[in-house]
Amino acid sequence: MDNNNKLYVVDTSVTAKLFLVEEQSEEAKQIYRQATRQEIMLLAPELTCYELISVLTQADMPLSEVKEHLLLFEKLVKDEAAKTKGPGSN
Amino acid sequence: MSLMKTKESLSTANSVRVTLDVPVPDNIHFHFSSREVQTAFGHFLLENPHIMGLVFENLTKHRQEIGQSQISPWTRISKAQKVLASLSDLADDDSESSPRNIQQTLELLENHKPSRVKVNSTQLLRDIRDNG
Repeated sequence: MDNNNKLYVVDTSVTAKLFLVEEQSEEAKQIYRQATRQEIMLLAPELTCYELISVLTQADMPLSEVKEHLLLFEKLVKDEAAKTKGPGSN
Repeated sequence: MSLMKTKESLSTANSVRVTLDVPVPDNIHFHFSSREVQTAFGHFLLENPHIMGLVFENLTKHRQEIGQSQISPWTRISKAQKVLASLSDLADDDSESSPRNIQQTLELLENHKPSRVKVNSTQLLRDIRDNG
């Protein structure tokens, strides 16, 4: 990844829009597209994983869909489209 | 008669630890060097080759009982092998951001169907943060 790429801290509300049909869902997707192409860097607090699970499970959708969304999020993190960082991580 | 144990342990290539229990008369102090034990053990095995068969059989049985998660001394991997394995893992991690993976992830992102539920995720998240 180019070190000159801009780094953004992404809130869970943005990530959640990837998995829900609502306003600004397309904008959220565009942010993640750019991050996947490594044009920008996304950083999210480790808490994002837990908040995302809470939002998705409370959004009244089948658990199978929650699972699919979390699998995609896991893939995005694994491929470094978004990096999660906890208080103790470097 | 008391049992005396060797004070030295034998280190072998296969990480086999040998402790020799030898009955000796009271009031007599014996000290066996590791070399003496090794020689005695060698002689003993030459005279009783079936013992090694039993040892291997017991080890295999023990390993089956404890499952594959615990490694017996026979399959213990060396430090160098561990380092090589970790390097191999690192190489795998590097391959995650290859152009093929990027394309694959982009396709997953494009083809992923969001859930059609009536919810305002920003508001919902705010409620979760406020109320737990």
